[in-house]
Amino acid sequence: MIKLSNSYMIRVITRLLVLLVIAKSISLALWWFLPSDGIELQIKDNYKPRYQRVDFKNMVNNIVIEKSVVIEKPTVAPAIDNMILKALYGVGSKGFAIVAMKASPKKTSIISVGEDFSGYALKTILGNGVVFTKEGKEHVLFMNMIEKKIMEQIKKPVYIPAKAEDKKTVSKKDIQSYAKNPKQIWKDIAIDEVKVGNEIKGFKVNRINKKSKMYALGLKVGDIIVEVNNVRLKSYKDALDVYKDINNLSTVQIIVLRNNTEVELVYEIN
Amino acid sequence: MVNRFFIFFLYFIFFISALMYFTQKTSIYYFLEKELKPYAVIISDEEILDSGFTLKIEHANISLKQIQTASISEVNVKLFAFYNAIDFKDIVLSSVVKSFIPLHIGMAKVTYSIFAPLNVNAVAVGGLGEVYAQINVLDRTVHVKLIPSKLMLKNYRSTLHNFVKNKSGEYEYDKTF
Repeated sequence: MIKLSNSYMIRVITRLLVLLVIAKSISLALWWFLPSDGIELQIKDNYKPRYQRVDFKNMVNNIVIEKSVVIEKPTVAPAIDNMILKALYGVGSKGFAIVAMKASPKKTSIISVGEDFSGYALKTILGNGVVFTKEGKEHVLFMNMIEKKIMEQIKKPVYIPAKAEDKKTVSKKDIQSYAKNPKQIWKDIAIDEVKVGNEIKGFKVNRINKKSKMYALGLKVGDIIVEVNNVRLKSYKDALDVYKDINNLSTVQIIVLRNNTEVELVYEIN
Repeated sequence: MVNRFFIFFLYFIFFISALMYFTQKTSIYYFLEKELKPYAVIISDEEILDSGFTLKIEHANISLKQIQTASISEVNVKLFAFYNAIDFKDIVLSSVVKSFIPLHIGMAKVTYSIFAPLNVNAVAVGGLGEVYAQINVLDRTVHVKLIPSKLMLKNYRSTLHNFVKNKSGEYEYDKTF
């Protein structure tokens, strides 16, 4: 009688089963360490309000006209020390300030020169503060120290808006020629991403052909394009979206960082 | 002795095959996706099907730096240790590159065999013509041979300027990395 355990086949099958168990164990160990889900593309939508220019002169004049009708003076005016100056725009008698009460700092009001806030009339705007008048006396309110510290920390560049007369005109044909022939863009201009850590802060102009239409628009070598039509360029996708939409634009607003100054360039396409 | 070696070899093949079969290929795929993320390459919207020895990926959208770069109808990954192949079907490139090359690539195949361990071979056929590429991992060189289509010769001459035309009318491109 032949013992079953001596059979060659049983030995082979046993070895194969052992190998299967080892293979399964290794695969389970791998499964334990490997990720259980993949990565999907997540695009943060860049808020894109329609670009439009605002003439602050009109804003100031309109508010001055409306002030006697709209503003109600409080019966008991708070002291100037209870107010915070959050931000200001303009200088002298033109511009506006953003102010709030210390009790409710998030509830801000935009006050144009000549307008009242809690019984104080905004008289003039200084470099880092504003002058209010009340009952013939002048009160100076300086920028909130906390706000100033934050501004110093982030080293926000000075912003120079484009004047109405600075607006340049671009031919629709030129835009379309660039849209049809993107290679021409790279012949005329070389740009590279500017990163702070892992975050893209803009696109730097490394080379520009002085005979090109790009140069005529006012871009210079060293400029960092940070914003186009109210969209901060934080990724290649943001830049590409602008390029894809270029045929449908009537106005292009570009903000470039030049010598730590944000310079606004505005082009009308027609 | 030879007989013993042959039996050992058969056991080895059986073990590797069992390991390949049992291993969660979807998990390996997810691991590769995570490895690609630092290079800003993300594959999304895909359907993954682990079918034993192969992995099928359907309707994959590939983005590079958040820009939609290509969509691939079907990818078949076959990893058999000795011979490995990745087949791509119907690749449609983003319209961003339409002025550089035709957008549709019918098929592409990347192969790696243990019998030529230093070389990774690739072939692609599509609107641009036929492309044969060889990557030498030791010399860190890429050699590309393009047999351009009529469309490529007619509309994309400027892209062909990046290649060197050889005596047989093929276009070649060499690069080190």
